[in-house]
Amino acid sequence: MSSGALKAGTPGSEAASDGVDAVTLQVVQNRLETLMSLMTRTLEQLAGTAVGREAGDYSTAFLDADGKVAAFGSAVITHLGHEVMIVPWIYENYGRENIVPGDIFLSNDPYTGGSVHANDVGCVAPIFSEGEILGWVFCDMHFADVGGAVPGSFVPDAGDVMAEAVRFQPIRIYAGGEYREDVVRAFVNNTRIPTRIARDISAEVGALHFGVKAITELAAQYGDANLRVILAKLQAFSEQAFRERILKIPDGVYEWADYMEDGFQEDNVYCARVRLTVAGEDIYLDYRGSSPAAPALLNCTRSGLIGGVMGPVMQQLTIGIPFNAGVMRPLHIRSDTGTWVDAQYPTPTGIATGYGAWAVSDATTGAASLALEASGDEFLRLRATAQAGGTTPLYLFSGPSDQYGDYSIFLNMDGPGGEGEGGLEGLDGGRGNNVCLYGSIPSVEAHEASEPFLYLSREIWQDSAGAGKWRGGFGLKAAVVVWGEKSSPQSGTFCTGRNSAPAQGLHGGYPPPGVYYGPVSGSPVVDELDEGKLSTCSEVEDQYSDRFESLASKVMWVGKRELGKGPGSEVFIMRHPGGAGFGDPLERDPEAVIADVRDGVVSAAAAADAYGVVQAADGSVDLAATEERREQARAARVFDGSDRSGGTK
Amino acid sequence: MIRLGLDVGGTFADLAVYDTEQESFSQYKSLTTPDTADCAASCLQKAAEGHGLTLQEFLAKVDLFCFGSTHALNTVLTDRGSRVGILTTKGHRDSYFIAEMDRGGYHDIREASERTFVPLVERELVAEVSERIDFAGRVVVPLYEDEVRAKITALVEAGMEALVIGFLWSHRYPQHELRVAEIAREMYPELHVTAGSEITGTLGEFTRLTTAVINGYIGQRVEQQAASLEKFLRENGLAVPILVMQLLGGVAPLPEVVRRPVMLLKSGPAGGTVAAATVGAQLDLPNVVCLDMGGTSLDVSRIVDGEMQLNRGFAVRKHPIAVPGVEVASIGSGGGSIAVVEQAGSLARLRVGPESASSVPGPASYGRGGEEATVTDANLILGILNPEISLGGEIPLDLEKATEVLDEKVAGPTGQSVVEAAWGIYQVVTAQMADAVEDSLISNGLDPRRFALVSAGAAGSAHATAIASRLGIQKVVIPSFSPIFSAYGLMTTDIRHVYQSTDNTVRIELDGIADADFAKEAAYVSEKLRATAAHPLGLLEEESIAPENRSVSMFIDMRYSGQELNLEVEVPFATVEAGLDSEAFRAILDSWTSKYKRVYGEGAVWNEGAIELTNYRAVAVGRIPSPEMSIELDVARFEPEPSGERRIYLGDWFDAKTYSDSSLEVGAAITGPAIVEGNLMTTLIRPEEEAVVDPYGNLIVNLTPSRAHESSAISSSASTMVVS
Repeated sequence: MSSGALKAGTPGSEAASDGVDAVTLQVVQNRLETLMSLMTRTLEQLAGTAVGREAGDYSTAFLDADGKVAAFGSAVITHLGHEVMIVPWIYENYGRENIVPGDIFLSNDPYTGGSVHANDVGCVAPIFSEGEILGWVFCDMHFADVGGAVPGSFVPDAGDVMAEAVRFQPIRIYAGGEYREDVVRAFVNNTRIPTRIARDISAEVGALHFGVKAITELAAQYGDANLRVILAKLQAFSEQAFRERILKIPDGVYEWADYMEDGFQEDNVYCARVRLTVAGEDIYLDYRGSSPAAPALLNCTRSGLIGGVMGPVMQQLTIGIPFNAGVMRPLHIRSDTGTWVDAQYPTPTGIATGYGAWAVSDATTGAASLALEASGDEFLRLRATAQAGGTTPLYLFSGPSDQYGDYSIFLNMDGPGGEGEGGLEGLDGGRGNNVCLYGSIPSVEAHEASEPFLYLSREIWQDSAGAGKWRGGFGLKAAVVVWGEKSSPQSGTFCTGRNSAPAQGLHGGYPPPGVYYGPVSGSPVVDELDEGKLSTCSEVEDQYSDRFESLASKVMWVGKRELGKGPGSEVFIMRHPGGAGFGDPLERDPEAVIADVRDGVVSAAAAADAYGVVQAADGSVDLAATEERREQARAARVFDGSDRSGGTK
Repeated sequence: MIRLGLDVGGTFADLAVYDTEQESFSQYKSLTTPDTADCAASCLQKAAEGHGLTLQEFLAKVDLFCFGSTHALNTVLTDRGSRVGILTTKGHRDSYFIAEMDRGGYHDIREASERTFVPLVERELVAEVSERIDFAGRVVVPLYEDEVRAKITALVEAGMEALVIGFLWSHRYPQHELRVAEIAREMYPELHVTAGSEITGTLGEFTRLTTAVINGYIGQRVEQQAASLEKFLRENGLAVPILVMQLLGGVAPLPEVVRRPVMLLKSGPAGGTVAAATVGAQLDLPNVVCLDMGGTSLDVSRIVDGEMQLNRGFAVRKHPIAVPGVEVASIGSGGGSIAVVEQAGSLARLRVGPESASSVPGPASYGRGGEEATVTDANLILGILNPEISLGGEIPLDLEKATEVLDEKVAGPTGQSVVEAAWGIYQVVTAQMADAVEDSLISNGLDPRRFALVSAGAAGSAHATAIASRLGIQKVVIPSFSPIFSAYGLMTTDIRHVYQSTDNTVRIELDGIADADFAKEAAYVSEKLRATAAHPLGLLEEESIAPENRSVSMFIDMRYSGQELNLEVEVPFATVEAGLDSEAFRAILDSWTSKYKRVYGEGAVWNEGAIELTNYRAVAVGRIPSPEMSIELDVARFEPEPSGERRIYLGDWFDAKTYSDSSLEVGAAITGPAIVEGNLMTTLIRPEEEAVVDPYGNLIVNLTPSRAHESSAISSSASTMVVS
């Protein structure tokens, strides 16, 4: 610690020479947190596309003069990759001395300014105090379209990042307070929905204006020099607090591997592997055992890797510690450039957030859970979790016309919001995942108001919750048909990473089922609406299972295939995964299993098969039969040497 | 004659009494009991005695009776509602349980699952019927009444006590819901029936459904309490209508509230906001921010240009309630907030709240087993609270215990003296409250320096001037009736009804629209506004409010296409009555655009695409005439006799004069450092501040501009308590 640092509170000690005390640290930290949430609120209210806002796919941050995180208002933790990389890039390439008050930079290139994928368009503005840079405010948000070969900018056959989308290195959209409309127009002109994208940029500008003003006032209140000291101390506090927490985790190596299948252009399985080493008060995260980069858009760059690491760091390891650059100091991240979690220019990265970075997050959650469980500290131990549903299935629909006659493009974001959390000790998984802090899904009416679809039903996907003593949260399924007088048939791009490699349970907890989806063709469902007959997703599946086509985990229809409208047209079925279970399902309280059956989360068949619970005729638990069934199930798990291959020797 | 405001809270029932002949106010308190009628009886009995009358004589003189209660809210918070059943659109039975999969923003992976949505309705009591409306309000599949009847019967047989009907797109086409409600009421006259579209016209089936579920959940309980209260009051001679405070800051007659019990939620804080508006009007302060600090939380509301600010909804137990209400922001800072030292090596942070010692066991100084250091304990140690005065006349404060606990929990770990530790707690909680005030204002584009601060509630006035000076606020008002603030608000309120209709069919393209088309849109909006206003005006008509006492404020929410924003713009009712032509409509759009720029800045505007109209809202007020009071605010000042003197610590030791609040006469002028105290409230007047008692009995503190917005007086003077 430097000589200026605060020393331990020994009785009778004198005032710190800089006058920064426990009260000031807390007061400023509180202020920063509320300012970030106000900035985030401004951003989400003004944004012009639903994609970012309704899944909470946006973030804000206050960065210090060096571009390190001073406070975080992020909703999507992955954006931290962009947050930590953008300012250093600007300094290095444009020169710190050339930054002036009133500048605002726009940035969406994964290989320069740190955007995780080109859809994440960020804006950043310096804050000056007494002629010097005091810090920066930053916004980041998923934009629905940033150009490229297909609507929505997820381009499966793009061979490199140039083919994927329009990419701007950090570029001034305001220079010294002068608005550069030409630059903004150059960007939005390369997208399919320029007005809405321009609105998104304006929303970020509005949020930044608020942030600059608020932080400038804070500097006036505390004094510029004082505020710099306070920010440094807050980072020092967070670093030290995190180090003390790490000391509560036994030294050791904790490993986890997460898998996602299929890369659009081939059928490989991609592995994100982490070796998490706790050594004293430091944590080393080594991702060098991860798969080589995919030829298509699954990969993430180093910024996606950092962003992916931060989810579990924030939600499992540093809870209650102010989140700033201080918590990153005890972390040491290693990776090999050229792997799919640290892609090398110009490898494509179109869906980095949902794939490469998400796999990093899930793998790190797994390793962190093992490490936390080894701790003697109960608070830490109880933060071990089975995996949440795991990356969003992306259902991106597009067509020449929506129900209002406008160009139609939308990404169904029920994925990141509509999945289940993993089970934890003593607690079933709830709603969401550990990437999207503010994840939620739009109402069916909000969907139907903005998309050319009628939702036949949106239901709890029965048995989607990974079984366990503490089960995962449930996932969803929905069935839609194209709807609206002006609507055109809809094409799209669809992908899931969790068909054959679902989220992983902990301590014998089961994974959720793999995600599958696709159209039901040639059914009378749409025609029957005219006759007054409504069918639900479950009914369609039951009655027309032979007409359901389970699509591959990565499919692009654009230019090849579409969902029709009107008589005889298809029903499209979408699924969103449940979370994995924690602990052996045979140990689950039978009453809890019955309650799940009653609530439609677990089927009677799964209650018997996965949980070994036998119901009496009146629906109550038959305890004796349940115990017997569970005994049999346990016995069947013991390998008795017999050949189970089904073949002959 | 006598006007009464009765506010039944969780712990105390407060009664405000204004005698119009004597022009005198009085206030009474009694402990809350489970039955509202009992509680009212005990309060009213005290008041009757205070006026030297029997209860019957007293009630016979009452010409205005307004009532507010937390009972409805507590019913929800304590799981005491009815067994609700839901009838919904086929295919969407799970909508309520999916709960929009809201994760909640928690940073703790465990908390996210621990605090996930918990339904108040059993899944067996949710049934589907075939019917479907689409986004344009067209019937896709009609309603089958036989099926409806069969499903309702099955739900009743399964034990349903209250029926909620929630169909998709019912705000666009309510006929299906209304028909089902009619059928249910015919079949089971005793059944409590709520159709979502009768309560709110907001977009989003889950939000309308949760609003209706809460309405159904509390309905029967509210009816029971209302019946019992009414019986008691009528038997004892009350002749006037019973008016009940609703969450939108106005009263409605009891039968109307019983029809829409969800309007009763948060009626307490709403009463406080009404009181703040009254105080603002009396003192000619158009912009007021009101703080109500209790034991566990701080409520912040605001009056802008004399108007209470309404939000578009809030949530109870994760159930969104889509009914406009007085906007009250709450944070977890109260007298019972617990101070915790978070340490990391040589560094420390002193955190205060959101954990609270509540009223049980309460702060350490209550001597009821509390072992945590709280704000109340700190204020006692600082000398702001008087150890000789029992809180509320009932709870003696134990200074020794407070000192012992603060020493162990805060002073020890930070290496400070106990008073320094207490001063740290005071500063942190004060700054938190100032943050909450600032957020409530600046996020709405308002400048705190244009506001006066009104402090209500028992705990706030020890912090009020410190908060004001942090924000550059120059006037602080501590109302004389601060301890019964909500009850006072009840007595000074008007009848208010609101109706909001969501309809996003109007879109004005910014790159030009043909004049004829624009005129068509204007005509549509005009008709929409009239229809929206007709709802609450109809209620005033039913309530026989004289036309000269009626007024309506109308608002339209707008956004640029694609946004989720709902930024409102007011439409003068005269314009609505005259009919909106193109010119008037253009003026409304312009006024909205300039407000947008004012709030979010020029750079946040992208003037292409379209402006969309989303909600139409009418707030109708039935003025309750109140006695004319013209009080001259300028009074001759004099220096009152102090009741004593004591040492207080505010970063330094001061000798503060103390004054008993009951003995202060109009015109009494006090210079800080001073304490004004009584058994319901303690006010701190800091060094160099000047306070005067105004003709209403309010304590007014004027902060000089030079002192106001003292850059960081709080933190710089804090250097004496350093963790170092």
